[in-house]
Amino acid sequence: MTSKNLFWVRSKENNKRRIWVWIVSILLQMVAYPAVMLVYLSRIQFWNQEGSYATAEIYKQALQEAAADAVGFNPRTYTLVLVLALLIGIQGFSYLYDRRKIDMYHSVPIPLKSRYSVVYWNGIACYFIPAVISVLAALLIATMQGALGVAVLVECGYAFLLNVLFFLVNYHLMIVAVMLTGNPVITGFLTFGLLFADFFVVQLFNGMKYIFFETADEYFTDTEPYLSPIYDYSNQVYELKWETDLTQMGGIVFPMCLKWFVMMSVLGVIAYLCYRKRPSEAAGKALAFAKIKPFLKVMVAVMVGIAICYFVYDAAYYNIWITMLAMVTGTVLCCGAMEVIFEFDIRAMIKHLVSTGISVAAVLVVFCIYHFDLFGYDTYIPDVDEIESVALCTGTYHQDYFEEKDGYEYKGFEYIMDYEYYEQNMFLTNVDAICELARKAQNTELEDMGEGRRFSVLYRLKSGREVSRTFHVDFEDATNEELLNQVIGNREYVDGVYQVAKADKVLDNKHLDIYYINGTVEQALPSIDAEEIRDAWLKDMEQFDFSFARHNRPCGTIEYYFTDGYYVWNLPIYESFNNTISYLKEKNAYYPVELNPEDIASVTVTNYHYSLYEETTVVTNGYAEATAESAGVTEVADVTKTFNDPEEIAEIVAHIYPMNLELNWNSVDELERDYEITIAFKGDADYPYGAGYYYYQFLHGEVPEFVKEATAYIPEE
Amino acid sequence: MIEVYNVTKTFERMKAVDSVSVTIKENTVFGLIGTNGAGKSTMLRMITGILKPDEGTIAIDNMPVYDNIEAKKQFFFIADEPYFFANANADTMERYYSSIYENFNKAEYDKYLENFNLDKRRKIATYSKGMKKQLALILGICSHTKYLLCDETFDGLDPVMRQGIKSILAKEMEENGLTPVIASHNLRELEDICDHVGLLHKGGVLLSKDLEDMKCNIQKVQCVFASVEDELKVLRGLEVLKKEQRGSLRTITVRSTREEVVAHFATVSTVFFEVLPLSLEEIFISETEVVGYDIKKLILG
Repeated sequence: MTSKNLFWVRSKENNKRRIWVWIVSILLQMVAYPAVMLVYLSRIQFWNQEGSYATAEIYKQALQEAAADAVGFNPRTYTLVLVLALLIGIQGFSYLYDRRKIDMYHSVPIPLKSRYSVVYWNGIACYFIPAVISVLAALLIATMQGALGVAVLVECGYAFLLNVLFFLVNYHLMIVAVMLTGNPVITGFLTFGLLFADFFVVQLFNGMKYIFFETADEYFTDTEPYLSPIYDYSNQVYELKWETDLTQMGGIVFPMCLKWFVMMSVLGVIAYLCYRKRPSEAAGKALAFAKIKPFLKVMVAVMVGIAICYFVYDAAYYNIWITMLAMVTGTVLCCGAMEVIFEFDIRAMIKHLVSTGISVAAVLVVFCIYHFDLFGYDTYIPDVDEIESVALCTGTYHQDYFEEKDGYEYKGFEYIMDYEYYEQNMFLTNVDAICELARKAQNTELEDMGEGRRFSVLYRLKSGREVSRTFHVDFEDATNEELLNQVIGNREYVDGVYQVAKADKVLDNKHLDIYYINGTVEQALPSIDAEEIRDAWLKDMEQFDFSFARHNRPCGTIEYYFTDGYYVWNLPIYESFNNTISYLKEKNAYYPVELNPEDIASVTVTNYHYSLYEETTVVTNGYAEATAESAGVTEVADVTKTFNDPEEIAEIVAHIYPMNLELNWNSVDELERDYEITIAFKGDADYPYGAGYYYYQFLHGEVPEFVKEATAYIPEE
Repeated sequence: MIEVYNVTKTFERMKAVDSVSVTIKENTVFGLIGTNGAGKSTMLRMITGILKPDEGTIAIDNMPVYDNIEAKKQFFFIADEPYFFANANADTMERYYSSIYENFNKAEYDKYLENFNLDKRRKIATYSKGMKKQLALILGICSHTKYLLCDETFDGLDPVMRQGIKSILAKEMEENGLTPVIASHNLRELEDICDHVGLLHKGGVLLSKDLEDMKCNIQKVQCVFASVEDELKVLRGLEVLKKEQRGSLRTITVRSTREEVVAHFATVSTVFFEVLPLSLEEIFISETEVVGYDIKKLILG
């Protein structure tokens, strides 16, 4: 018999042993593709009968969207593929756990290489053949129902390619786990470890960074797992689902496939070499190769030791001795537990103390690296010449950021975090000023700094590397003002912070409403003027810099409100913004922020008397936060007084500011936080007030004496 | 011929087989005797290429055995607990082994199954332990390999079945030149079948000899000497392995041929003289006691 024939004969024999796996694979994939396709399409047909689709074209598109969902990217299929990869991988080589099976299989005249290739290729066939049949059956159903289109076929093709690679990489990983272990329980542990090790390690070291390094930034460039296909796929699946540009889709799929192919190849070589070297007597033992025991033990124990550090350091109020004691104890216990698992013998706990010692030493070295910042993490500032551009997250703005999506499953806006937007859109080139601010922050103790903000900075280096750090910027330091003017007083910064500046496409959105708001008045503006308003505002923003923002208060805001997703952009308007205000005046929409006392029926002032409480000011992440803790005041000290006298009302409204206008860069003491003012307007006022109450605060140091007296706290006898 | 030369195998610092050298000639029945843990199974698993020796070489018909398909074609291995596929019946196993061993004889297989009253459609999982061993032996015999290596295979077979299997082995040896290698912890089980015996103890070989050689070269004599001088003369002229005395009756085990012993005793005056047949057990006791082992403890329990 030729070797080719022998392969098929042995393949047939091997498949007889794994019929149940074939059945499971076929059943699951038939449910995942053709059955799901039938359900999805029948749902669309039902809605069509109910009259949900206005035209035949919309109905056809809905059918195609449903078809793409059935055979395209979705979490359902990648979970299925993962389960099948692990199941098929372990089942094929599970005979290696059983001495009786090894005695039979390894004594018969079949070369190891041949046995491996038969089991290996059959495993792939176990997934691949049912997958092809199921997908083709699903596409056949789609064709019969008129749901097939080019986009469906392309998405299906990409998804199939990605799923096959995802299967292969996990299948190889499972085989490696089987080859390295001698019983299924340990294989399970190792597989879990191999699948998620990268993820856990990255999370752990990110956590350590935040605990130990003052300049660790949690927004930009947070390290992500690189060697975890599960993370890759779960991270990208919705991205792929929403992507309508097939070229863009390929741009995501192909690099991922290439990476997985490389991983798969490496794992494949390791798996085969392990198979060739795996001693038959490994059956039933914890690990197949004694040489990997110390390596594995040290790796796991060090990770456990660092995890203990991560949890204990904070809980023990940064006491390094308690932390180190906990780390050492935990590492030693982990080493003992690993030995018990390796030997299946509780007495093995104190074996191999050298590797235990190495683990403890490694854990302490890692602790020292972080605790003493041995690699200078906190002192790192890139050279100005090395930096291409910078993105800045000041945590100042209350803006929504989003991306427009037009996928089959989901159409509309997808919310993105502010720092994600800055990362993609802010390219500040005045890097000298930023580096100087960073240097000044390094050279000044936090306690010695005044009120300010904590900036997260993303340095994009010319080398292509990205590094991020965070540091506190003291707004009260006069020398910082000029630096900050250079950093934020330019179009690059405005473009990076205000999505409206670069958003030509979304301004055409028919679901856009625009309002002018000044704290009391809300005036609708024509959506068709979206660009005109934006352009006028951008021109006004040319006068914007730190000094301007610090020493002026907005007199209103333009609100771009997207009804499709409820996202809001706020554009602050200052009194000197002549272009914007001219537009508003032209539309009869402008009203000054100052109130006319004659329009006001009453003013109610509540004094919360925070000063009666013991006040402590703490700085958290650079933000000065006033906290009040009870210091003997056992009752609620709020005092509320309503003023109806026109003179008193006039005195009050001359010193107040609306609560719903944002003071992004102003001092935290700009307003009196003890007082809350509620304005009730007269029904016949000229001002276009809405019904209800409006909330204001006193400007700092401008509370009228009569208000103070009227709202003074008098303890009950 | 199977040649095991200076083979050592260690499991986690415990030497299971220590520098063993054995030669198994063709067309003989080789018995591998030893207590539990003596290294018999490890030896067989190395001979069959399942385990790789740490040191030494193993060759079957001058071919190294480990991962060598040509060498493995020469033997069929029956493990102490033979494995059969889940839900398999005798037919399933026949199909599997006939796809591997080119000379597998299906007609013979069916005949043996019938003779041993093994239902080939019945699931093997429902067979008794003895029936499974019979089936494994039948599969091995019908594979028509040159060597049949059996690990504790006769253990668990009833005497009738054991006799039946032995007859088949004898027939196969005669007709097809089969060389069975049988490992057992029970010396008595192999007594009437082995031509050559290797005794393993604590991973080493205590002895390896042809049974006929042993039987021919060791004689047990019961006699009553006419005088002390006659006794001394006899003892001086023979290699005495063991001597027992009950009154004037002497039982002497000597290393020599029967003819030489008879001729030697003829030179002295005896009141009573008889050469007695030795059992394999007695031969072993004598041989191993010489090298300082109490064989009764080792393999007779």
